[in-house]
Amino acid sequence: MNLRAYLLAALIMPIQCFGHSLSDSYLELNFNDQDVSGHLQIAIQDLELAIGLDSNADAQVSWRELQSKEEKLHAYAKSNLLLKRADIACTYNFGTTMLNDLNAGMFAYLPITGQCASTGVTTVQYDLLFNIDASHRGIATVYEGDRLHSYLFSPQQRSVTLAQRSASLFSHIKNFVVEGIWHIWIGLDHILFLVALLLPIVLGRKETQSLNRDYSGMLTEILKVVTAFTAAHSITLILASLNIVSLPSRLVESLIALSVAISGLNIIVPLFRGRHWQIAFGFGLIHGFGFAGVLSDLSLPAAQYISGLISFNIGVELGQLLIVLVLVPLLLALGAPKSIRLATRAFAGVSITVFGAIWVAERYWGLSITAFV
Amino acid sequence: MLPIRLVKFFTTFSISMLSPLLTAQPFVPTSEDFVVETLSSSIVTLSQELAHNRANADSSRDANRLNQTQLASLEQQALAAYRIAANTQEQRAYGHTLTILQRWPADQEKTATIHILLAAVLQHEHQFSEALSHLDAALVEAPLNAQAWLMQAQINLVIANYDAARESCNTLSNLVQPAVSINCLAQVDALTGNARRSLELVEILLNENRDLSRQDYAELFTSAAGFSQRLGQTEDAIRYYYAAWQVAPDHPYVLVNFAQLLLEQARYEDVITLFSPHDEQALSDEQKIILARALSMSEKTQDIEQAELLKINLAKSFEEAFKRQEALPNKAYAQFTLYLSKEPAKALSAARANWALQKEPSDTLLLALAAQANDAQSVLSVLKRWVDSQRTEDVRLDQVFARSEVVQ
Repeated sequence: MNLRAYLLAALIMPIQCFGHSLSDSYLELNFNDQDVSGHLQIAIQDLELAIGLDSNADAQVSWRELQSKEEKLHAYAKSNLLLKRADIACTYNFGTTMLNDLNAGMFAYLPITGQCASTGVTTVQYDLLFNIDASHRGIATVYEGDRLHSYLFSPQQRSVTLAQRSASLFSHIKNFVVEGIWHIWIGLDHILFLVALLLPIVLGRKETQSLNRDYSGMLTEILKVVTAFTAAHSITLILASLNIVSLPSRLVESLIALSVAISGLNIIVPLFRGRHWQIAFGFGLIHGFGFAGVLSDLSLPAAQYISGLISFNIGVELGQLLIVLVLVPLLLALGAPKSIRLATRAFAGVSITVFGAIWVAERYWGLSITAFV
Repeated sequence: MLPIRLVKFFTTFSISMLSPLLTAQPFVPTSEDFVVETLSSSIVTLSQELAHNRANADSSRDANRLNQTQLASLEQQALAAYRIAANTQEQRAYGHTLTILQRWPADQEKTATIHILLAAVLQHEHQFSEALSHLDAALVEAPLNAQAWLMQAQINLVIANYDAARESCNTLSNLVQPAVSINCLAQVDALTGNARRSLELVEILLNENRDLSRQDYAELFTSAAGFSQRLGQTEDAIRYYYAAWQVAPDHPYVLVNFAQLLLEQARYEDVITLFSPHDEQALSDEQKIILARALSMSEKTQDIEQAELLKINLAKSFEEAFKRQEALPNKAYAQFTLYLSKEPAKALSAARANWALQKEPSDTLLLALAAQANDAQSVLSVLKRWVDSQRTEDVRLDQVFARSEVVQ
């Protein structure tokens, strides 16, 4: 065999010939919890080599020819693109094939949607075209939540393992602290319970204390209440989260509502008779079960269970502290006149009691009262 | 009539503003007859070859242990794939050749042909040291293989290992016809202080030898053109490139060097005409850069628009190439950043990376021009010392050194 005819042109005249585009495919994947979405783009020229698109051999690939090979195209792509999480293959499908006119030529655009296991290490295995063209490369962009990874698949690197879904410890703690703060802020029952506990302490001071701006007794009492509530709900939050103690959520939610109603009533009629912190502790135990329910909805990862639990609790405390810091100065701003304090107590007491009672009716008996309001 | 500078400014500005809108979006054609892609002849040929191989695939064979017939068949497949690659310069055909060559069982001795084909593909990918290793292996198998000696000479010439290149050319003189071996030696001599003597030798061959093939003519004319250009005999260089182009009008090396020379002589219309028979998409990045530079000097709005679009496409193409993180087109990128995007620092960095890999006269000149654009005197001094030590003759380099007042 005379090789010269094939080789010489590239020998005597040096190599300067990258006129034809290189064979690249583009993969974009977006892993969001269990969902996976994205797209795969394969050059039409590559598909012609891989599955043969030009049925009538006229050196042109028509949209009709491509559509007639869509099933084969999807099967080819699927058999060469494997997504796995926790060693279990993700189930995904390609949507309707589209076209994308890129710089390197026309590409088939295959939308991807599917589902993976909820936890575990994610792997992407890419084998497209390597059995035809050793120079082919798969250029992948993978989003995992808000993290972006870029990968290059080659015959030597056909598989990548995405880092375990582990945001940094700081970001993980921050997320759960925010969840804790958010939960107490949007949980009107917890806020009203706190208000109901604090209001008698702030507005129940003697007129002389108000006039003399003597806050020491009040602040001590507030501190006791807040600490007792915090300690109590932390205990039950931890016990419930670790599945050491468990109560039916309907009972927990109803008892929380009852705690609101009773505390509201206490504003009008002094039921607790100075035992504010003890009551705060007792009902705090119930509220802790409520927080635990929310935390379980957030699906704490096993590896970060304790840090998540502590962070969430810190968030609840911070949220609570902010409520106290806003509420107490507001109540103090109402001033010393007894009439105003009485009116405020009456209005707040009735309102909170009514809300608590309605929630009890809704949560325990399943009535839909607020839906009619 | 608007002044040409104003036209250029508005064209450039409007295309630049529109370029984000040119970003492709997926779509579904409205007609079944919509032509998705017109396949190049190289893809058609390669597709046919693949279909042929699939039809004749031996499903019973053990990929790790092939008998002599199966090995011979594999060698033939690799040759056929390489033939398509060499004839069409289709990247996918080079990749396919490599795929076939990699199927050769690891525990079975490679033939000289397999080593040579591996070297050819690796040379094409600018993996010169790996290519040389395969050529050494081929010459162990077949010490008188002219192809292997020729390739060895050429690679050593590209990486400026001139003594080794000369040795390979000398060995060739007993194995091939004089036109090939003399041209081989002339190329080495022309870069080591004997350009004029080399030109004379090639001219004698061209004038007195009546047994030359078209390929011989193309190679000898190209050599003569290069020698003349470096000696400052521009008209001779144009004449020789023109002759080479007539013999091998599609050869990328002839095309790019001829066009480059015409561009240097401000013959922009000739450059445009030279590229006009070629599909713009099939041009190499280097060719596109030369064409864009010529078009941008035109006074026609249409040409200026085409130049701007070429520039945008080139920028995208480099962006995609850099995503690959391998086989970086440093030479073309240096030219693009030096002449089109006007980013001299990037140009110098890419030209240095290119020169670390290959040191043909055009690579040395590119580095010198990039260094000049950055006023990088230290780079120019190093280059000048290197050029002097090799006794390289190139009037264009001399001009750069003179303009920059480079002293050793």
